[in-house]
Amino acid sequence: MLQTLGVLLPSLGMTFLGMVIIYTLIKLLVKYFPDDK
Amino acid sequence: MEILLGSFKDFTFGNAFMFFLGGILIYLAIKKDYEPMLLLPIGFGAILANIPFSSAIGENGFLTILYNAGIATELFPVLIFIAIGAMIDFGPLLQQPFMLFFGAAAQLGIFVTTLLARGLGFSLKEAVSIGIIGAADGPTSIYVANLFAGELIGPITVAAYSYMSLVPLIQPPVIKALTTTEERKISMDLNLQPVSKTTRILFPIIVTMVAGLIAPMSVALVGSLMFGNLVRECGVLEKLSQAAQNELSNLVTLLLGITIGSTMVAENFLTWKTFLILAMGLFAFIMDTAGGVLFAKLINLFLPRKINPMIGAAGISAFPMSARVIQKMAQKENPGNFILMQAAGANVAGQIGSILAAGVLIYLVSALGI
Repeated sequence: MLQTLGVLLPSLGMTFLGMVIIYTLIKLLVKYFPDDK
Repeated sequence: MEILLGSFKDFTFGNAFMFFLGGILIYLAIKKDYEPMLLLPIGFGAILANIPFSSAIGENGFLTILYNAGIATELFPVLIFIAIGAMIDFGPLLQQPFMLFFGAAAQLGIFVTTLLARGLGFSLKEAVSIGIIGAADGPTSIYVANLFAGELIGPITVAAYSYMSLVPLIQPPVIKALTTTEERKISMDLNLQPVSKTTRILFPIIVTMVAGLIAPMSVALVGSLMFGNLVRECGVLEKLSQAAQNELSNLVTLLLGITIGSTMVAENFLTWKTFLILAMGLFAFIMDTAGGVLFAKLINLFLPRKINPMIGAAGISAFPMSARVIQKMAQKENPGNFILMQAAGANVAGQIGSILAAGVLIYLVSALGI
C-alpha cells in the first residue's frame, strides 16, 4: 500500500502542478494576444 | 452430422450468457441511446467472439487482426484523440482558465479507486488500469489498460463507456447529496471576454510542449488531442478538421468498438474480477463527481463572490454530457440560471486533466520497473 501511495500522491501533485502551469500559460497568452489586430 | 453440430457441442453456459450480455448492450444502444456508437459494436463483437470455433477471432480472425493492429499498438485510442481534439472548443476554458483546477480535482476518482483496487488484491498495474476508469474517458482507459493489464481491457472498456453514458443518472444524486438548494441556485458571471485566434492556435502547441515535459508518457495522448485541436483552430484545414470530426471519428469508433467486444470471450470475461471492475468503475465516477464538487465548495470558502459548486462536477471529462447535466440541474433550481459556458470550461479541462493524470501515472508506474 505504501508503494501505491508513493505513486498516487506524486501523480496527484504533478497533475495539479501541470494545471497550474497551463493556467499560467493561458493567462500569459490571453494577456499578450488579446486580439488579432 | 457430428461435424455440423460441433459448435453446439462446444457451446457453453458462459457463451450463452455472453450472447445475452451482448444483446443487453445492443438493446441499451438502440432503445436507450446509451453511447450507441460504442455499445452496439461492443455488444455485437461479444456475440461474434463467443460462437465456438468463430472465424472472427483466432490467429487469422479479422477481429484479432484488428486487435493486434489497433489496440495492441495503441493506434485506435490515439486516432480517436485526434478526432476528439478536432471536436473540442477550448474557448470556454481559455476564457476562464481557473476551470482547469476543477479538471484536476475531478480526477479524484482515479486515485481513490486505484487505492480501493489495491486493497481488494489487484496488482499495482491492474489497480491503476481500473482507477483510470475514473478518467471518464474511454480512449484513455483503453490506452492504459492495454499498457498495464491487457487481460482486463474488455471489462474496463465496458465499464468506462457504460458509466459515461450513465452520467445523467450517476451525477445528479451525488451533487444533490453534497450541495444545498441555495448553492445550486448560485448564478455566475456571463460577461466572458472573447479569445483571439492567435491564442486558440498557440494553446494546443504550448500545452503539448508543457504536458510532454511534465509527463513524457502522456505525449501520445496529449499530442494527438492537441494536434486535432490545432487542425480545428488553424483556419486553413477546414476539410481535414471535418474529416477528423466525422470520417476518422466514425470509422475508428466502429472498429474500436467491435474489436473491444471481441475480447469479451466468456472464459476470460466471466470472472469475479469483471464484476469487481464494474463496481469499482461506478465508484470511480461517484468519487470524481464528489471530488469536483467538494473542491468547488472548498474554493468558495475563500472567494468573495461564490461559484456554483455544481461546476466542479463538470470537471470529469465526459464531454459534453456532464456540462449539459450541470446546466439542466442549475435551470431546474433557478430557471434563469445559465452556467453552461462555465460547466463546458470545466468539462474540457477534465479532458486535459484526465490525460495528464494518466500520463503521470503511466510514467511513475513504468519507472518502478514492476
